[in-house]
Amino acid sequence: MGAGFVHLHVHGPFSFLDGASPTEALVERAARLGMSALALTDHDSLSGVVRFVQAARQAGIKPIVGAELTMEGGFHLTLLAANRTGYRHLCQLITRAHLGSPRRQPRLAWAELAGRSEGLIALSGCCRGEAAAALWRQDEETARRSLLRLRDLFGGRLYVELVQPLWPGSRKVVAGLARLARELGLPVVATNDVHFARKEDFPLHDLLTCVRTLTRVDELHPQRPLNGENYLKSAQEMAELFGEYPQALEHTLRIAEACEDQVVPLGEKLLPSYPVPPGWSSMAWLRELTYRGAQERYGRLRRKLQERLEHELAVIEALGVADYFLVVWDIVQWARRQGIRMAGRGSAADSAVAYCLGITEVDAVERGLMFERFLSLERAQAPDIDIDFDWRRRDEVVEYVFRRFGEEHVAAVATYNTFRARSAVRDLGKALGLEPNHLDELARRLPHIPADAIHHVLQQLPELRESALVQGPGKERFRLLFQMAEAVAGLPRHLSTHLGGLILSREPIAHLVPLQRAAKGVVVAQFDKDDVEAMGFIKLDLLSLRTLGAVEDTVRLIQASPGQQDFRYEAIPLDDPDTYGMLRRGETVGVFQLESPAQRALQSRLGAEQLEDLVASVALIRPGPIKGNMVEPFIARRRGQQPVEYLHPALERILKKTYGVVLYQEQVIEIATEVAGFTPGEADRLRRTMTHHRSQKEMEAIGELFVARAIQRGVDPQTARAIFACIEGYAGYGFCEAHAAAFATTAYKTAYLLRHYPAQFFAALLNNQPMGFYPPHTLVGEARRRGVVVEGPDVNASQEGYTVVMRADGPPVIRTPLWVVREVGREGAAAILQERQRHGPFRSLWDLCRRVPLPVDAWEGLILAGALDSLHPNRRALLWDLPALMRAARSGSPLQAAPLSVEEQAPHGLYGGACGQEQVARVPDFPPWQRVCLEFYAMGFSPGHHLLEFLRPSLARQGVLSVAQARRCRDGERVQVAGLVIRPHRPPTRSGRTVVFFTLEDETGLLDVTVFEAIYQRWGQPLFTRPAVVVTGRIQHQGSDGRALIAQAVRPLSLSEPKTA
Amino acid sequence: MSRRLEVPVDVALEGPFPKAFRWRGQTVPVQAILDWWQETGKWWEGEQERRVVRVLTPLGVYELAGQEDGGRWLLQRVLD
Repeated sequence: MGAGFVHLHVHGPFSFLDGASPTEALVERAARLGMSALALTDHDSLSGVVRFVQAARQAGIKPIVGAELTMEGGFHLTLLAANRTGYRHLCQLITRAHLGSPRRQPRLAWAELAGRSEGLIALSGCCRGEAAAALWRQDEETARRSLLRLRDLFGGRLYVELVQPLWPGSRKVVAGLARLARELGLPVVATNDVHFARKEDFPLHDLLTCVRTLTRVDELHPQRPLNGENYLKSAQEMAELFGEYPQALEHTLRIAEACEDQVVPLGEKLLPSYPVPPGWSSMAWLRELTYRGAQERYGRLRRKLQERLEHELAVIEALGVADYFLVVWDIVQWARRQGIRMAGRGSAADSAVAYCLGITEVDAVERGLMFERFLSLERAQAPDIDIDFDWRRRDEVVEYVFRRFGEEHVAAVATYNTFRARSAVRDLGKALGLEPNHLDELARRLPHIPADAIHHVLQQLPELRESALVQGPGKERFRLLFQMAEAVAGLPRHLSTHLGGLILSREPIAHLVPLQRAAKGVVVAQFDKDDVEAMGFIKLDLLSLRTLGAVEDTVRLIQASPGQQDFRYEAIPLDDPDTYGMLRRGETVGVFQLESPAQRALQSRLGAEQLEDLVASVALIRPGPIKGNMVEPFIARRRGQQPVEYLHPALERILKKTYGVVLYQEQVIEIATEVAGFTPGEADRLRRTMTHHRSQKEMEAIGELFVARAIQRGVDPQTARAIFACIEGYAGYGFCEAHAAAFATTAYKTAYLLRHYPAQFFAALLNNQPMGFYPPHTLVGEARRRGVVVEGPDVNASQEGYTVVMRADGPPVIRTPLWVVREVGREGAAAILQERQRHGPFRSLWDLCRRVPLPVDAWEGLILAGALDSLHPNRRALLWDLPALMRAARSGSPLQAAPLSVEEQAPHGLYGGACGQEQVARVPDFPPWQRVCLEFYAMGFSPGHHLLEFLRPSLARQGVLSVAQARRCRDGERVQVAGLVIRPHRPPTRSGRTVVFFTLEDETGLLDVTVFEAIYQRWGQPLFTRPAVVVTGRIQHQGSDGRALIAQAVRPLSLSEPKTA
Repeated sequence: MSRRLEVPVDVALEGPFPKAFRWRGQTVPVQAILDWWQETGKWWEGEQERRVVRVLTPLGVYELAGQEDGGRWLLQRVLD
């Protein structure tokens, strides 16, 4: 028998910082308490409803979908959707509350409820409901008026909500509400305004309230709860609270009964029809466009191609997704017309239709890619097409989609930022009153892990284990912080916009999903990608890729170089020997997808000679293949050091391009089709089951089916079992070949740009920061090593971005822009450029201060970065003069009439005698070491020097080698090498042990270092806490040109001023 | 007006509520329970939740606070 009460006012985690339990925990507790239904009523949001409905159905209880709306005046109103109409109205009301108010402060005007109350059941609100709040103020008349207004709107679907929070005076308010209800003939209903599942979850809720209200636990705030009573109480506990009002309890059941089970539309067809030309159906138009595209791509249509296109078109027609392809085609066509650089990625590259429509650039037919990896009748899943655009122009494409398909019919997809270790430590630690700088230090040392894994890494990682913070006098508070972080793990912190996801709908989206405004003003649906897919929306992924911005910039810089105006990125030859030579040497810093230490090592060992090697490289350096030990066998077979064998002749065709190794997901599908006779859809199901690591039982069942089918087709049982074991072992790690092929093409082309146009390429990379694996100072160092001169910023020479000057009589030059200097920013740099363009070059610091109003910090940064060196070379003297000149400039000095040139100033000191200002001391300039350090401080790199240059004499005396010297050492030779620590990280390893990889950078190059667990535990503390280290270890040769250092000891390297010998 | 006292007192209970308490050597009978509520202390310092009961006595209105475990009672406040 069910309990005599259900909770109708419940906040889940999507009340963002006001709900402290996961949805599943709430549902599970309600089910365990014997409740037949449960409502979800988050603040102005339905973000949690899809997973709530799924969890409730799984638990066998009825989900009631609702929300607590914030009305004008800040009052709360609880609304429950009784049916589909109610749900639709709820979506519209929440949308209006958000879009009609400033961001993050949703408010709904009472008038909006008129005409949108049908299908909704209203509860008058918690203690912040208008009527209850009035009674707390002892204003009965206002309370009465409020209830009458709601009665006019909702009629018999209004209930007076009684909440007993066990606060001082709350009994009186409950009694007052019950009395008013009787007087007005309204029914009452009891709720507990639930914010967490169990009473013991209260501290977390209180702490989250502190985060939300920006208070510390020892501070007061009216929104902090007085007690922990807002948990999901049992029917018995609620009966004890509302013994005087039995009807209030009974009415919860009546309301639950009145609410339909399925108010959220799930699994419906929501895609809009594409506006095809008159006389065409969507399918016929798609066929027409596909064949037109095929004609352009291939010229003559071979039978095999035609069969493939017809097969794909038949699947597209059967799944009813022709309009989706047309929509994507339309967007791609538009972007192309606008000259926006783009590239399709993901499994869509498995489709020949997508290739013919110009959506992807991978020839699926030529590569023999399996369409079923992308779309299949059996799977009947919505297609998912991802397209990368130049990151600076992606928003133009999105704006076009809104214009083209109607503002009401398009929305961005949401994503939820959940608490992870770093965010939990920062947010909760602040609320617990811990010092912000201590929290920052701790957070920076934490790896990117879930918040509930902190305890594990505290023991595991030396930089945390040995931290004085967590071991010091305040350790108890830190212990509480980690306990709270564990509890908050996975709860959403706030809603933001999915990187690229858009949904389109035939009816206005606000009828199906509430909309709100995200940062940058984007209208975003309150559902994430899984939720929109469950509802039946088809998602478009229009992503921004900085690499495409860098490619665009490189091409423009090349075309602006003498004799290169005809350069075309599309015409880059795919077999350039110099490019492959560079790849084989592992010199790939800056190359898309191939620049990480692991990729550089792989390139050296693999001996890349063709694009196919790069496709495999992209797929190989992933956590799965590394953990699955696929890399070594692949390299050995590729280099002919191991024989290539096939378990069955049928596998040769499928696995030939990967030397008998199962590397791609498409290969699994093909093996299942070829060997066991699975239909392509069945085979993809097999691939998905394996990829998602279902239960052992399920895996065994699939294995038996595979073996049985293979035997039926004449494969001997032993071989069938061996083949299955092989794909079972690899399928979980397999990568989508189409995706790898799409990325590999861009990877190769960026490698070509790097090899042949390094100045333009590095300038473009620096213009598009942050991107890639390495910080700007590493890129600048790499550019220098490739013979490019990098000039610092100059107020009279810098342009809007990094620019390139090609010189006939010398190496190319990259000129640094002004915005890289701290405190200057894009606006400050633009102001200087604009003034220079209008009134000519600057003649002195005085001239600059007078003509451009920048804050003192910006001028200091520019001086330290060397941007004023062309006006006067003594940076310290310029700094010395700055305050007085700024004062004079602000007060309108007589200098305005006669600015001085550097030459004019020279006889009088810098500015002194000639201008009547105070005399300036003649101060010596900063020594070279300090100048370089200050350049690092001002812009994160030094254009002309590396810090290690200055330490070199002293390091040499200690027997510490440079990177270049170490690279020339024998395999296994023991060396000491010093450098800056670049990107230390701990990727997953096959053994599960912690291994740290990082790169040492000095003035001569880069050297990748591996630190195994024992060494890391003993010596690893400085790796994540210090900028530079000295590593003792053994040189390892990787292929003919690759070199790495296997660490045996690590010590910090002091970057203090070097002593002269 | 009220004065905060925070003085430990012995309390005689009737169900979960006080029926009398000892204060300055005399037994003070509770004439009526005016209100009661739950109050969370400084949980981050290990304090427990307590039930606060506002009582009417012949000496005036007092607030008594009892720990969750029912053991210790404090005369928390007197309302003048």
